[in-house]
Amino acid sequence: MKVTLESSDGQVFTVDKEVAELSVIIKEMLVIEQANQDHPIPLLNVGAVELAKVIEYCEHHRNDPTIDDDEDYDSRKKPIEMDDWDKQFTIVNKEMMFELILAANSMQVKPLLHLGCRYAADIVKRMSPTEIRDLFQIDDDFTPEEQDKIEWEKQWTKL
Amino acid sequence: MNSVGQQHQSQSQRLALQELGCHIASFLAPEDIFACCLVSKQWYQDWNPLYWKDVIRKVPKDLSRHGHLIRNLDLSFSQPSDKLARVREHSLNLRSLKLTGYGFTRSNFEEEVLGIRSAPTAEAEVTEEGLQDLENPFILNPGHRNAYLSNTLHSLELSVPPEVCSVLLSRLAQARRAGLLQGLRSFKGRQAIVYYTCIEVDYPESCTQEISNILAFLDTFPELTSFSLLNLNIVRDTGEITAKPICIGREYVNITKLEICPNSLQEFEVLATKMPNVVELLLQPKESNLIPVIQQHFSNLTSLSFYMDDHEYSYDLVDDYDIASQRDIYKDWIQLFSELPNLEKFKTRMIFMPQLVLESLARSCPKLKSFKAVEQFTSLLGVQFMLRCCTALKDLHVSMVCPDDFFIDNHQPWKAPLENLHLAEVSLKYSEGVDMFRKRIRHWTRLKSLRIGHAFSMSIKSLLDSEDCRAVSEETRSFLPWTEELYDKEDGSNRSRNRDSIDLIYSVSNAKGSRSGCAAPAVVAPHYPCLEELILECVPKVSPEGIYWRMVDIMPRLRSLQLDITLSEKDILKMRGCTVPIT
Repeated sequence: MKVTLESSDGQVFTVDKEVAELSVIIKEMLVIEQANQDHPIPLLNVGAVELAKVIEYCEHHRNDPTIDDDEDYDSRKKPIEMDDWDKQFTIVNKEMMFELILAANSMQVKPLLHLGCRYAADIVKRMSPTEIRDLFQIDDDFTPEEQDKIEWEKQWTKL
Repeated sequence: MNSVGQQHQSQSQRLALQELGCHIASFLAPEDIFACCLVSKQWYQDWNPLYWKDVIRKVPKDLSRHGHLIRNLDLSFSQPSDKLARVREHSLNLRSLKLTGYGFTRSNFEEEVLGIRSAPTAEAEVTEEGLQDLENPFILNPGHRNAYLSNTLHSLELSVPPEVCSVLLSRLAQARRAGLLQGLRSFKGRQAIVYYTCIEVDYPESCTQEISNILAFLDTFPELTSFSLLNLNIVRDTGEITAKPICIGREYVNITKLEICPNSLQEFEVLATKMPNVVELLLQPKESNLIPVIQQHFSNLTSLSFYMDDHEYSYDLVDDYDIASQRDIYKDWIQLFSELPNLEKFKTRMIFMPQLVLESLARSCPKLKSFKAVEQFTSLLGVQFMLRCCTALKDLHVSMVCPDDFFIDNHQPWKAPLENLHLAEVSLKYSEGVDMFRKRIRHWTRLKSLRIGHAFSMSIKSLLDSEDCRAVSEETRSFLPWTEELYDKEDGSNRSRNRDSIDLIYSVSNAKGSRSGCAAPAVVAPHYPCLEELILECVPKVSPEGIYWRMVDIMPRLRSLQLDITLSEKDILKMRGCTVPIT
């Protein structure tokens, strides 16, 4: 069975139902609006470019076992399986990846959200505050005193 | 940051980070999270709560500002200190608490942790009954909330000395009746004894818990799903109380996980009959005759751990080929597994596991994922049988010496899809054994971790095939005298003895993606596609540097490598020529 999805900028995509159902939100909507399936499902927070990418991801992972919902954060610390396809998939620019994380979050595509968060974590891993500021073009608005204070608070929690 | 579009973009990125911070932070080390705190005021607001969420570090001087952000706390004290009070007063939103204190006395534990301000006089004389009669002591402290007994607390683990341990259950039950600890779902109690090396010191006597006391505690906390009480003596009640029929009464239907150390069959049976829904069981028994009780009452078990305390109580060693006496002595064990069809994890310590028992385990438990047998002898024939038959087995951890014959196993296929393999010692003397070992390991394409405790008699050929060895020798042209040994007929002689490992560390850390030998081959078949951790301990100085390069090539996911030197994830990333995992 096919389902149609409409991006925020009005583009319409047709995908298999089981592919679309990787999104928890769409899955729930399909249950509620069973009778009304002729209209495309509107995704107000997701642009066409991102939606295409999300669908590409879902197509590839359509047969994966589902991730448990109540998975607590401890189990996330274990490295997750990331195959070569996933690695290729994440070779996009930083802005695109953040938009994808947002899209995955609003559509609740759990495995993609997981992948995206890991990607985001890898970006800041082992970076100094200055490097992070440069990367995200953020201004340093701390006074030296404030900075010292935070450092001081931290020294009591050192390993 | 000038155009509106860019501002919008960075705004939405920030929001994403804020909302998903917890998820992202779960992949980061505390230092990384702290670096994020220092980026800007906005980032500080977003990341600071995540930094403080898990404190398994030193207790900060001032908790008044951040204490409420801590969710999971792991504290360890040799002596009680004023830190205890700081945590008690400020960390009021704790979800899980692990508190280990070897130096507590009963009075300072009650005062500092339980928050009972005025300890009763003539403490030592207070009996269990006396405790029940006391006016509720926790209300004596109305102005102070107590983080250690907070209603937000979900999981509580206390490791305390015997004198505290003996009053622990009744005190906690009292607190519960006073309206504290309302959210508790998981409780772990441990007796912590410091064994001094100095002989003159008197050891504190081990604490004894009566079974009726445990049942009273469980009655007070009917929502508990996990109950654990280890390293102490659990006994039946003495005197008149034994006469009471303690077997009747309520069932603890919520408990799915039980960890207990019964002194004998009778105590265990009392608990076993009352907990029909246990699926995870850990026993630390004094006697080994509890097997029929497990079989009778816990047929839904998915996880069973059986830790004998001491060799004194374990079974006698039985000859691996003496099937008749195995059948006789181990009949309970052999029978047990036929009644546990859902078993996924089985772990033993200090019990000899003969062939027949392991065969029964392999035949009766098709879902078995994990088998660990530590500090004990385990039948090699039995483990071979498991490797041939257990089609779900992923983790294998056995403490025994595995010779050539073990891996050759008449060239029979091993069906177990292993992911983690941990062996105490591998001793390969013949080239057939070396080849077979390599074939077996390569056959496990999902293998993530390989650890061998004593690998001093292994050759590098047990991991690298002839093609690899050729690549290694090309890679390390300048060190031909040693690499030629790779082609030696004698397996025992193919180790470098002259090369100093300091040279190797130097050349690896200076590599930065460029190699001393020829360039990397265009495509290398990943023979160990999932291997993340390779730890071979007690390896003599091996290695032409090319071996490390080759290993990194054929193990694309490798993160930790230990042969004669240790390479961390950082070193390996450097060798692969990248500084950040994803660019």
